[in-house]
Amino acid sequence: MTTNRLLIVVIAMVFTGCSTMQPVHQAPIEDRAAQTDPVKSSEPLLVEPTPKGSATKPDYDNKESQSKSTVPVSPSTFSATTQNAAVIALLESAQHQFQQGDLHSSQSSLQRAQRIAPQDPEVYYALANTHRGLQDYVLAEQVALKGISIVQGQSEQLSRFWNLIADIRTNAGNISGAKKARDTAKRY
Amino acid sequence: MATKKATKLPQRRPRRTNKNVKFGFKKKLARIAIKLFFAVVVISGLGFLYLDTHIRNQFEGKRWALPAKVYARPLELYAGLPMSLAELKIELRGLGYQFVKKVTHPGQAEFSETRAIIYSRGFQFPDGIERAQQLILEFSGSQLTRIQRYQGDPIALVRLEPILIGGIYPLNNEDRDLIQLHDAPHGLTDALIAIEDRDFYQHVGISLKGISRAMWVNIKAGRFVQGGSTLTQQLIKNFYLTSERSLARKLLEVPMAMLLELHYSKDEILEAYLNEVYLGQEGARAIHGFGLAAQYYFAQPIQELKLHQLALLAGLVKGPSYYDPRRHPQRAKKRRDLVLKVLHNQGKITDKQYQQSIATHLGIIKQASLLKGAYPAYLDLVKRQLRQSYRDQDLSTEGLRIFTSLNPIVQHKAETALVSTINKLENWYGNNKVKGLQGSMVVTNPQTGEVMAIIGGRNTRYQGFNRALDAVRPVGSLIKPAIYLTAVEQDYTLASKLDDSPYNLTMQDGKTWNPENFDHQSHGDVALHTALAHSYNLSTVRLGMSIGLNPIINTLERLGVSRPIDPYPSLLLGAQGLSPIEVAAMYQTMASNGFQMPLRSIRLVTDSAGQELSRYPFQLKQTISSSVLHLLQYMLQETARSGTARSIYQHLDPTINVAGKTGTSDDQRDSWFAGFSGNRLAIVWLGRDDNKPLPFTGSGGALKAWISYMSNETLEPFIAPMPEDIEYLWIAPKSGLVSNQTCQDAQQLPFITGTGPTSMDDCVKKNNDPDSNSANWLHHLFR
Repeated sequence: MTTNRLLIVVIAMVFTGCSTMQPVHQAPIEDRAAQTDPVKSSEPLLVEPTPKGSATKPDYDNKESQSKSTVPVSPSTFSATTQNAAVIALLESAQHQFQQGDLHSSQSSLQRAQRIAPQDPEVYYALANTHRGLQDYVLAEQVALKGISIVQGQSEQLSRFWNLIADIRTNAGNISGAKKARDTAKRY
Repeated sequence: MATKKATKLPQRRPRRTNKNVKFGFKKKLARIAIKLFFAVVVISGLGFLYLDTHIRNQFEGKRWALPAKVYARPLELYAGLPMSLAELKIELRGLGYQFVKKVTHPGQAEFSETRAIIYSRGFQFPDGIERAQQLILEFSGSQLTRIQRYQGDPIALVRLEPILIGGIYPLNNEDRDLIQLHDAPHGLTDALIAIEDRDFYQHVGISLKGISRAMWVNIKAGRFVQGGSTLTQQLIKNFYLTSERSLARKLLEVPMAMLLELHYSKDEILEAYLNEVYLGQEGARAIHGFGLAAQYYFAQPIQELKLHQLALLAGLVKGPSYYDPRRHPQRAKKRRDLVLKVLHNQGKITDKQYQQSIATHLGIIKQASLLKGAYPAYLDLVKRQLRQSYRDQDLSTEGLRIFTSLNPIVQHKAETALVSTINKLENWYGNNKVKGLQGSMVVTNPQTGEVMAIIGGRNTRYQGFNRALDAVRPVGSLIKPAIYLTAVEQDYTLASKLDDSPYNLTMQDGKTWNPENFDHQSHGDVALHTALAHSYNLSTVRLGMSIGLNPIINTLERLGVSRPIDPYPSLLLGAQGLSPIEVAAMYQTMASNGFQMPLRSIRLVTDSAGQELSRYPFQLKQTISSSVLHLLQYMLQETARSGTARSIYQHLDPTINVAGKTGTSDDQRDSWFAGFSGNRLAIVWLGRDDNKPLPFTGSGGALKAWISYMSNETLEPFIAPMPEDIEYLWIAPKSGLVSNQTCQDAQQLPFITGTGPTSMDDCVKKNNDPDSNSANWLHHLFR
């Protein structure tokens, strides 16, 4: 048995050396459900710069595990590292403008934030809420749904977004739809 | 009858003496003269009144038709921005920044290896003022890592002023950037007055001294070398009269100039002159005013020009065509130096200034480096979108400000990639086979739906046929994702087996349709995902015919295709024509998880005072479930990894995940590629306007341009977060049954939960067999 195993090892080593076999893909999933902590800043436009490479994006692959010929398995969750300082500043401006009732300015600030960090769920949450304030309920719900597509796998965020959709539907007079959204929120 | 009357008339009249006749004639003449005199007085008075009213109305009312100004997106600077120092330079060149050793004024920049110091100019944005400031930007590779005020604190976010990329002009094609007198440097007004009308502040509209001087000079020279018109007369001529050289015009000029001087101050007249004067021509566009001329000749705001530049502009007034510094640089220099000499003689500049200025070369920028007018295809899209809400007249006269999402850096890279690929293909295949090869490209942000760049043809500055919007060409296999999407919305999974054997269809007219695979082979039973990744035609046609053409058309509509589509079987292989921008809209929905987003080129429109008129916000509508779209996204990624577009990863880093599809129309008349990363979606079309076949396919042509563009971009990987109802299963490729990671060639495929195969592949059964444990052990060892 031992001799057989050794023989197999040798043969296999030879074959492996010149093998063109497609490698079996190791799924590079990093299940980091850690949520983005909102960074507080007293001065909206004077914050410390973000360290290199800390823009909001999921840790998805690493070079070693990524083959040229295989499709990477999608991550089951997005894990944002640090929010970009510019986005924080814009979100704070938008919030201030929202509170002042200047909803169009708030929308402009949020769209600037979206261009910088299109995968930041906070941007979509605030933007959906601004459209809700503008009584554009159809668009508000769609923006919130876009946010949901980003926060897949993050229960707390999913619950928050579904509650926002429930509020939007309530404002739009869709009571049964609001109840459904509220029930969905409770699932997380 | 007539003859009779003629003979009778002399008999009726009494005979008169010569004296009486003469007296009567004089009296009559005097009466006529008096009447004429009064008539002239009245007519002159009325004319004078008319002129006066006309002059005042036009001067005080709207004096100029102001073209709409179209701006590129402003560059947002923040730590973490994926941008290299070289890319910053592209932007700053577009803004006309001067690259200097030491920054001292707005509009200047200095560079070291990893650092830039810039002095921004500031800009009045609709949502607030961005003030001029000196900034230090630090870079590491292709990222901006830190931004701070010069000798100050770090800053989170700064917007640079946007590049002016074009205008929408009135019918007379006059273009101008208005300036106020206090914006005009003293050097300019001094030079202008010195060379054109040195008594400007003394005369009353006309200058007898000036006329005498000019006459003397002309007599001495024996020809016409100098005019005696004052600046006021010149303004009157340009403002109210035609350019015709006639005595009547000249006679009108004098009273009008005097009237203008009567009503308005010298400074008001000078300010009007600075904005009215004609200073050059670019094709049909007439360059008026010193504000625009500064941009046109030096790509700088007038306030930033140096003495020698101002002298040149002042010198151009005499003959913008004759002294055109681009066509006749020596003539222009001679004229500029004359202006400087006059300034020096009049004591307006010092010896040193004079010597330095005449020693400086003209410093005119190449016309090709001007970004205004450099993006005709993009501007075309902007105009089409604007015309849905604004009248042409308002667009060309009201001075509207239009803020677009054009990204000049992206546009620059896309143009370089497309044009160089076309040139390479021509070299490779020879001019005969690809004569007149054309191409177009659309680049969008897959997350926001904003159009970042558009190329309408290989001559990127050509204002004619815009292929990106108007070339409706068969899309070939670019249509296939709609078929496979429809299939997975029904009962198919990625592991479903499709029949790729030969297929014939007898049409209603009795003809037979025999589609073929590109390699003229059939591949037997193939997995659904493989059929799309390798773009097999036979299995696709069989699949399409089994699910029905109407559901596929419905899917295309939900993907964003609004054009009416006929349900012909040839649709399945992309006989349907679409323009590149329509393809972009279709793939945008695929890139954004099933959210259809109208492609937007305009962000905001304001009036000339900055008051917002209309905004074009981010809009979206989910038309396809993110779960089924996830399945399609997998197949499009597979196309890039191991399918027809696998050459991508010979050039791109494998960690940059992208997805896309090649397309080749019937007889290889069109070469397409549509694909996206996390932050860029690009559509490339190559073909010939005469619709002749090409010697290459989608992957041999358009894909090369796409790769060339993408490999020069700072890309973010495309990531599709896994929807809740998606699960990944290991599948054995041959059987399509459940496998596991220990089995050779096993592949993880996504399924909507519960729809995947449940039966086990033989490999799994073998692995569970204790006798085959040694093989498993080995497999693990060498994984």
